[in-house]
Amino acid sequence: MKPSPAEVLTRIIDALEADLIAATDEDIAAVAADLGMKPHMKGSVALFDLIAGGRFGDVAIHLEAPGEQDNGTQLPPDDETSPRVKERSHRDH
Amino acid sequence: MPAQRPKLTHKTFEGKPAQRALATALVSVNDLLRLKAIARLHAHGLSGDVGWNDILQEAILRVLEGKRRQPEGVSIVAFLAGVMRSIRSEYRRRARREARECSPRPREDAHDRDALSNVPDPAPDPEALLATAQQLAAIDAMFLGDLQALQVLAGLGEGLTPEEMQTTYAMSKTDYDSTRKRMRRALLRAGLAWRTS
Repeated sequence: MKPSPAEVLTRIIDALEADLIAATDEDIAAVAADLGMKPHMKGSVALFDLIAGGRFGDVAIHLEAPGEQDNGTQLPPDDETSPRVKERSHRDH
Repeated sequence: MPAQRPKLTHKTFEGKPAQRALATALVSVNDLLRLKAIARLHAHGLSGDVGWNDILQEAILRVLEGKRRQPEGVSIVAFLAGVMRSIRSEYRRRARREARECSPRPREDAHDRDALSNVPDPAPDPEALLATAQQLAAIDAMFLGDLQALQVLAGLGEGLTPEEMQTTYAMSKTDYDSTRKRMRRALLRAGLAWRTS
C-alpha cells in the first residue's frame, strides 16, 4: 500500500534529522568555512540569531555593527578585519 | 549514572535559553549548530507566528527549567531534537484546534457535540494536506540538481533500506554513502546560512 504524504514526510524528516544529529565536527567546520563563518569566534554570525538579544557585551557590539540590517541579505563572513571584530578586539584589550 | 545537570551560576539567568545553555555547558557550539539546522528542518510548514528559533529556544528552556530530563545514554542533541518534535506537534494540534473553532459549524445539541468529540477525524483536512505538500516541496528544493539525492529522498519516503535504494536506483555503496554525505552537508548549509526567516 502506498504511504500517505504525511507518512512520507515523517519518514524523510526522521531520516534527515538523524543525519543532522550524526553530523561530525568536520562536517560542521567544512560547511561553516563554505559560508565564511567562524562559529567558535565570539559574536559569530553562525549563532547570532540564537543569542542576539542577550545581555552579554559581545552581542551588544554585534547588534550595533554596520552592514547587518535585517534586510534578508547574506551577512558578511566572520572576517578578522571586519569592523565589528576590530571594535570588539579594541574593547577586549 | 544520570545525565550531569548543568551548573547554575548568576549568569545562567541572563540572555536567551540558547545562550544560557552555552554558558552552563549544557551544549557546545557545534551542538547548537546541529540543533539550529534540525530546528529549521522541523519548522517547515509551521504557521507564520512560530518559527524555528521559537521551537529551539522553547526546547532548551524546558530542559533548563527541569521540565524535561535527558535520559541516560541519549545525546543532548538527540534529546533536544525529540523535545522540538514534541513542541512542533503541540503547535500544530493547537493551530488545528483553533482553525476548527474559528470555522462555522452547523447547529448541534450538547449530546451530539459530546459524541462527535470522541470520534477521530478519518481524513486529513485540506490545510494539513497543503502543509505536507509544501514541506515536501521545501525539502526537495534543498537538493535540486542532485538526482541521486532526490532518489535517496524518494527511497526514504518509501521506507526503503539503504540496500534497497542501491538496488532500486542502481547506485553503488560508495555512491550511496557519498550522496548521504552531500545531503548532510546541504542540510547543514541550509540550516546555518544566514537568513531573516
